[in-house]
Amino acid sequence: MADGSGHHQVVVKPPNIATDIHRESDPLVRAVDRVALSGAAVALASGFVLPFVEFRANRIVEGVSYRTWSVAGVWGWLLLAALAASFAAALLPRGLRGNSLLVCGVGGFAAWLFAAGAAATRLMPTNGSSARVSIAMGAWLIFLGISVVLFQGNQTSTINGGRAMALAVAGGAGVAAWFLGGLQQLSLVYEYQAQSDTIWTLTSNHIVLSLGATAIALVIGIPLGIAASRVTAVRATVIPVAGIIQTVPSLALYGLLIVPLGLLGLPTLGTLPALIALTLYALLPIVRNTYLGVSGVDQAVIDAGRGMGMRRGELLLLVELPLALPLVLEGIRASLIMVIGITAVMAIIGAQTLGTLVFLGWGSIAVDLVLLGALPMVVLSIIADQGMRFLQRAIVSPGILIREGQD
Amino acid sequence: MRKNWKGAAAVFAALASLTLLVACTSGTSSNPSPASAPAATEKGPIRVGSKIDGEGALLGQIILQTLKANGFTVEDKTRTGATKVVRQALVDGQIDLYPEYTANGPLTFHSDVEVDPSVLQSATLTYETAKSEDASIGIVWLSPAPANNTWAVALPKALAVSNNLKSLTDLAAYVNKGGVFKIVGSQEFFTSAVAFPAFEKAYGFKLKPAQKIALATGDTAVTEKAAAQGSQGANAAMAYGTDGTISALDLVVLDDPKGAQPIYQPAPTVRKAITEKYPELATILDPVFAKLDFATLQDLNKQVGVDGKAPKDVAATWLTAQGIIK
Repeated sequence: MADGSGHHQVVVKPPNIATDIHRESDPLVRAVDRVALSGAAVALASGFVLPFVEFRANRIVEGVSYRTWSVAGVWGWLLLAALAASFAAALLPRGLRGNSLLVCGVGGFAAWLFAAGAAATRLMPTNGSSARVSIAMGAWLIFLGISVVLFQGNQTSTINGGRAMALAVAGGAGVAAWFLGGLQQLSLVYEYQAQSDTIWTLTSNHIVLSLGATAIALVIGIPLGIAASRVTAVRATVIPVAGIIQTVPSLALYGLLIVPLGLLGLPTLGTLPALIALTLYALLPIVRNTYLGVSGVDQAVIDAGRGMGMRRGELLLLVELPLALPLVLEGIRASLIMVIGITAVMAIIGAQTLGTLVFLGWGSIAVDLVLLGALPMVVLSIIADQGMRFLQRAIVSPGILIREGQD
Repeated sequence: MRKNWKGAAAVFAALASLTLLVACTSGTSSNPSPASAPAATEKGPIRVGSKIDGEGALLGQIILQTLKANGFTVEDKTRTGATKVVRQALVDGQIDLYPEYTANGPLTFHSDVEVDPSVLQSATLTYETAKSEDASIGIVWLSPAPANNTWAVALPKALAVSNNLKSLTDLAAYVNKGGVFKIVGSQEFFTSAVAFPAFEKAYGFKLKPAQKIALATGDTAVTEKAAAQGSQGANAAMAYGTDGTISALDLVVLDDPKGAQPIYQPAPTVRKAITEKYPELATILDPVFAKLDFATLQDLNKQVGVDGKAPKDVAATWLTAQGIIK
């Protein structure tokens, strides 16, 4: 899928998957929306072959699997119909395709919610037992397929306000399935209820640690990156060292920190060592991209600045940094997303993060508790990614923006 | 060019304020502001920690809610981390108390001090040893619960019944006869002289390396499920005596008639500064722990581990039923 050729007019172009997916699916390029077609096909096949939900007599015993069509009644069949319709929509002529995909995707999403709720309602015994109904592999793949269909539909839809309408319908379906469709009978919801008093603290700790580490890495990393672009000796030390740190597994890095922290009389467990380890990890992408960005500025542009009588500081602030900004922001984005993942591991050393739930779930073989910790991390990563992309579009001069394909 | 400069300024300003924000929030969460320092008549705050596992969180909640009912302000730091993490937090003074198991005193925290093996066979002597060893580093042990959460061997019921295996004596005979046996346990379970090797020594059998599956972590829910499912040919598991998962997975625990394992009774461990300030802690917590016998703890653990209830709610329900909290 990655064409990797240089038709973007930027100084340095990191590989950009989003761009390439978009290009592939561009209605002007393709007669058939292959991406949506694959998404719908995977979802449809999963719906027929793979288990939709899993029933357990209690949270730790082996489960019994049920397929979509055998357990979710009319909603199961509606879901499969919506997936088949999405598949057909992906084959439609260009003019109709986007809108049809959007409609089928939203319908599929609503049917998925109600099918999950219907399956849970049907399988859960009415007396308050410790039985559990979990969403299984097939349902996750269907969800993924529907997301792809929705994404493609959203990109190519021509309805005015189509996105807003789709969002409203999906939201409404979510609320309805929650209150009327039995969605609250799912094991994930039971796990949430058991953790409801701590999960928000864990989430906010997770955010604070991830953002904090990235922010500190920024304060240290940008000056280091600039210094590396100016002084060969700095570059020859800082970049390899940051690279080596990156290759050290997170627990081993923590192990290496214990001795110096102990000597300084600082706590060797909990938030502080986690913050230090995370900052060290976040450094490399920021330092490297700042260095690459600043050193990659065209000499002619710098000469022009000199010609205008700029001093060194002015050159840096008014010419070099603004031109390096796309790469620097890209580095921050990479750091932030990586750190959100590694913050989970820091639960092992006593930092209370979403990883705490993951380890707790793993230790008690409660798959849904693991998910309860993992899903918010996925959401955080997506928000961080989209937020940074938004920031890139908002503050980078359009002339040097790394193209996202929307232009 | 002008726009770029503004953009750069905006991003740096945004990030600077972010750093500030982070600094502020983390500052307020770690130390309460001096302005809101408690009045002299108020008791606490006491920071209650616990191990991360289900039983740890449950015992932590029992302590926390009992203290609260007795007029203390408490800070919930339960599920602090694994044993090493929570113990270090207590030693460093990041928490004020947490429940620990008696044999961990001589065997884990003071393993450099030689103890007579007979000490570990006696609940009282194990407790006294843990207590006196920790006294030197300013940690006080309150009274333990009469429940022994020691290492054990669990088998699928079908295997135990068909081969008439009730105790480790039976198991030794079965293994020595060449019976099919493969056990899942933690690394520590197989290497620590007081754990599985103690069983082998006391009952006179020896497993081949291929008969042991060692996991890096000590989660008995994982080992027990592996044995129940027969993953990798396993048909036995390392278990803890008070596990609530054993019966849910249709396993049975083999008796240890020779008492080969050390005795692990849970008891609150408290920083000395706190017990000196609030000497009534012992009179408040001792009667509560006295009620936590083997069957009670196993049942409470089942509610957390098998039924998936929140440790907080399980603790509250039990404490209310006991008339300890209202």
